[in-house]
Amino acid sequence: MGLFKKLLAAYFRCWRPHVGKSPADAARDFCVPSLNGAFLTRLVTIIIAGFLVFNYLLRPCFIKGGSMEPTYPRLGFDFCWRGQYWFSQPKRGDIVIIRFTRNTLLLKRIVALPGETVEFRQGRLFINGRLLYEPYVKYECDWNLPPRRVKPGHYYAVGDNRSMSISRQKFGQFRKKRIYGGPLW
Amino acid sequence: MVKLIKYLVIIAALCVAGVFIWKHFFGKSEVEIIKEQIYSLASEASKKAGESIPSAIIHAKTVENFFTDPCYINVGTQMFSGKYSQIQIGASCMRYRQMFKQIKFTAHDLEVNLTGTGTATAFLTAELRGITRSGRNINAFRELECSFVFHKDKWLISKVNIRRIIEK
Repeated sequence: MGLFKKLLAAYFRCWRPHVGKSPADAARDFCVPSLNGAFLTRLVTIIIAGFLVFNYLLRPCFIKGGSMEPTYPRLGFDFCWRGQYWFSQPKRGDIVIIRFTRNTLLLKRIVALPGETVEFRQGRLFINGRLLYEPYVKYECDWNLPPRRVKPGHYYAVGDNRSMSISRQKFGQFRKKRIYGGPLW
Repeated sequence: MVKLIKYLVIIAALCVAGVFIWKHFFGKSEVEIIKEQIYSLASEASKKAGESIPSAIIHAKTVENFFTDPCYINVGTQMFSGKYSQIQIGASCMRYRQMFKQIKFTAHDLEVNLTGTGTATAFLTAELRGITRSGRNINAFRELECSFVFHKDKWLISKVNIRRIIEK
């Protein structure tokens, strides 16, 4: 136990290299650190922490397509917060990131929940036969899609930009397991 | 210090023994067996550079034994979809593997559900990475749904369907 405490104390000392130094020396050491054990320990810790955070918690994403304009403009940047649904369930109106293939994510908005019926009539979205109020859809849409039921364990998601042809946009129902996370902002 | 190392070694040994006992006495579940089947199939279907013809024949023969006779394959194209016997699967496997200098099949996101007595369904993302004979790099993904049946003490694939991730 004594050894463990010593190791822990030594590790935390690596993060306080300025202790016992003048401000000028501390600033110089910060800008031009010497390659000692403490520096390497801090570097390795930051690399590991960065890898874990940006791979498993906050994945950086570049938005390539325009299917969520104007809410998310093309060529934008965001982080995918993986913990979005760790303690809650997806609900209508949520913007989610769907894992399409191993390297491709889709950014869409959930419009229908499991068991509901989805239909497009002249560009207007009907859920269970009732028109859905969608203030986020800013562009003209002329989509027509016969009614279909969302399967159990599935959600229905569509992009906000429906000015493109219905065949060009990837949208529809997907399994809940496919939800990768949600945009951080 | 010596005492600490001794305690660590004893704890590690107990952990290893516990895992071994658990695996030995409680065995593998059917789901784990099916997962291993899929990983084995991916491994057998893969091809390393410089593989000899006899080795290719053995791999193709091994691959056909993962499927029922007949097996139904629907991969979205007329050319590759249809009803296949085990021999046809082996022959197709041999033929398509020969088009590549090397291929690696990997199964990701594997999810297996037991749907009844002696039947199961597996959902997976199949990845193919390879180099064709003409030197072209191929990297493709497909979402697959495989139906399994328990036949002659083995889980065999009876149906393969392409699965749409997002369906209008």
